[in-house]
Amino acid sequence: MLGHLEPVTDLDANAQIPAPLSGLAISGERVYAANGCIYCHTQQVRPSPLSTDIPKGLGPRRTVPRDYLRMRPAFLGTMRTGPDLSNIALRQPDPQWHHRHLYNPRSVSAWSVMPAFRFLYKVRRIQGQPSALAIQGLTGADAPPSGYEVVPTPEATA
Amino acid sequence: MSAPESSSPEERRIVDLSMRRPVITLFGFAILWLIVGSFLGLASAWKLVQPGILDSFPWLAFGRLRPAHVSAVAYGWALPAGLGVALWIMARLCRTALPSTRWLTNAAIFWNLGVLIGVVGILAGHGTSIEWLDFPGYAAPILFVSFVSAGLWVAVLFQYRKPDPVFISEWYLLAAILSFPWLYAAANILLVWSPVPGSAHGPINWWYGSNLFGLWFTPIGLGAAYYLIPKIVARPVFSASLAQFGFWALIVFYVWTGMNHLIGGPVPVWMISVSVVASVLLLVAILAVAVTLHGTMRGDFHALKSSPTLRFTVFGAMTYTVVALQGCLMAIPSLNTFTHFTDFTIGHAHLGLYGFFSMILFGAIYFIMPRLTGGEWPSAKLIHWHFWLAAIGLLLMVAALTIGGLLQGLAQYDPSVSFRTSLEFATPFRIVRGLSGILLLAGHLLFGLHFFWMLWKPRMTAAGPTLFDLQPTPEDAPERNAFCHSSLGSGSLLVRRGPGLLSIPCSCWVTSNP
Repeated sequence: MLGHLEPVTDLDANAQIPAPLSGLAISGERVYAANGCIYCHTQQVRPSPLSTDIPKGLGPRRTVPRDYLRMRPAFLGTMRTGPDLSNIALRQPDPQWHHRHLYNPRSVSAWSVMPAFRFLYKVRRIQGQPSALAIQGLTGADAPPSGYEVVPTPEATA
Repeated sequence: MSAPESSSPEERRIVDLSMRRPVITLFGFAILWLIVGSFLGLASAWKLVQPGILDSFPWLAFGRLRPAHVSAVAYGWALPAGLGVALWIMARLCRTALPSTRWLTNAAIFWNLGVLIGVVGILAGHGTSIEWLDFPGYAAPILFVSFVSAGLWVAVLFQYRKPDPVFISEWYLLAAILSFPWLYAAANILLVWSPVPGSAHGPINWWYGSNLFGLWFTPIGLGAAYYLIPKIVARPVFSASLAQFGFWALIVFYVWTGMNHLIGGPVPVWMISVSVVASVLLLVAILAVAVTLHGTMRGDFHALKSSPTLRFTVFGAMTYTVVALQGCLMAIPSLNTFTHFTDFTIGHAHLGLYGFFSMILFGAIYFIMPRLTGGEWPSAKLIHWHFWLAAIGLLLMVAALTIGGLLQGLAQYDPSVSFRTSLEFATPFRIVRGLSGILLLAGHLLFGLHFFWMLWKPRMTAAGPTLFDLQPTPEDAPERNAFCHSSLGSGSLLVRRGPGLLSIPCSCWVTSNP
C-alpha cells in the first residue's frame, strides 16, 4: 500500500503530483544526507491533538505519504533540536537569508546551536563584476576582506 | 539436571583454549571502538553546547560526528563484543570446541575493517542519514559477510553440542544470531541499495532500529545475564518455565514494535497502532525476565559487594527492567507527544545500549577474560573505578537528558512558547550531559588500559580471582561442580519445583546452573 504509491497526473494542469525533483533538488538531498541534517531537523507536520505542529505554523495541514514520494530517503527525522524544515521555503522564502544562515547561523539568530556550514562556501577575490550569487550583508568576523566576496559552492546552492 | 556444569575442568580448558583467539580479537577491537566512539560522542555532545568550536572542518560537523558516534559504539563496540560473549557462552554451554578458528578470527578482523571504512565514510560525508544504518552502501556488505562468517559458528557450536538439555541462554543467543543477518540485510536492501519510495522508508527504518535492540542487543544481554548470574550466585534459574515464557513473549511481540517512533507521521495509522499494542504487550516479557532474574538473585545480593562481574551484570539486568518499561510508556501516544523529537529519546537509547547492554558486556568480559588468558585481572581498584565512573556517568547522563527532554517536549507542545525557548530549556541539561560523557570516557580509558595490561601481563596467582574485597564468593575460584546439588535444597518453593519441571517430557528447559 505504502510501497506502491505512484505520483498522480493532474490532467487539467497537465502536471504530476508530486512534481519530479529537479537535478538541483536531488543534489540538495545528498548534501542534506551527507551532513546529517536529520539529526536535528524533522520534515513532518503531525496532526492535532497529537502535536501542536499546525497551530505553531509548521504547515497548513499534516504531511501525508504522497508528499514524500520523490524523496530518497524520506527525511522524516526524529529530533527537533532545530525547527521542522518541511516546506521551509514557504515560511522563509529568501535565499539570501538561507545563505547567511548556513554560512553562520549565529549571525541570524544569536541563540542558535546549528553548526556553521562555511565549508560549503568559498571566499574569493572579486574578479571584474561582483558575483550576483555572493552573500550580502555579512558583518563582523564573517565579512570578507574588502575586494573579496563569499560565494556559495554548488553544494550550498543545492 | 545434567547442566554443562557437569563438564570437567579439562573439558572447559579445551573449550576455552579453542575460543581464546577469536574472542580476544573481538573484545580487543571492540574496546578500541568503545574509546573512539566515546570521543566522537563527547565531541558531538559538546558541539550542541558550543557550536562554534572547530566549525570549519566538514569532517567534524555535528551531523557527521553524531552518526559516527552511534555507528562506532553500536557496530564497533556493542555488536562484536556481544558476538564474542555469545560465542564463548555458547561454546561453554554446548561443551564443544571448534577444531579451527582461523576463519572465525579472520571474520572478526574483517568486521572491524568494515566498521573502519563505515565510520570514515560517514565523517567524509558519505553517510546515508538513515538512523542506525548510517554506514555508506559500500561498508554494509563487508559487515554482512563478516557477521555471517562469524555468527555461523554459534550455530555450528549449537549443532554439535553435547546432549545436554538446552539452557535458556542458548535460546536467546541463537535467536540473536539468526535475527541480525535478517534484519541487517532486509533493511539495507530496502533502504540503501534499492530504496523504497517515499515515506515507506519510515516504517522499515524503525522496524530495523527497534529490532536491532529487541532481537540482537536484548537477547544477547539477557542470554549473558541468564548465564552469569546463576553461575556466580551458584543457584539455578528461579523458574525455568517463566524464563521460557519470557523468551517467547519477547520474540513474538518485539518484532511488531518500532512504528511508535512515527506517531503522527506520514504512515498508515494501523501500523502505529499495532506497534503501540505490541509495545504494551511486551510488558509481559519484561516482567517475566525481571521476576526470574530477581528470584535467582534473592538472598545473594551481598555478593554484589565483592564480585565485579555480578555487580556489572546485575546493574545491567536491573536497568533492562527500567529501560524496557520506559519504552512501553514512550509508545503510548499521549505520553509520546511530550517525548517525541526531544532529548528524552536520546536518554532512553543510552539507558538501553549502555545501562543495560554495555554494563552486562563489561560484566561478561570481566568474567570471560581470566578463563581465556589463564590469569587474573591485574587490579581490583581499576575495576572499581570503572564501575563507578560508568554507573555515575550513565545515571547523570540519563537524568539530564530525561528531565531536559521533558521540558523541551512540554515547551514544544505549547503553541504560545517559541521554538527558541524549547531549546533554552534543554541547554543546561546538555551541559550536564557533556560532563557525564567525560566520566564515561574516563571509565572506558581505564577499562581499555586494564584490558591490554591484562593481555600483556595477567596476574598469576593462586589466591583466586580479582574481587573487590577479600570475602570469598562463589565467583569461579575453582569452578564449582557441586553447586547444582547444593542449590536444590535452598530457598523458595519455585526452586524446589525445579526437578518436577524437568520431568515433563520433551522439556528442554532446565532450572539448573548453566
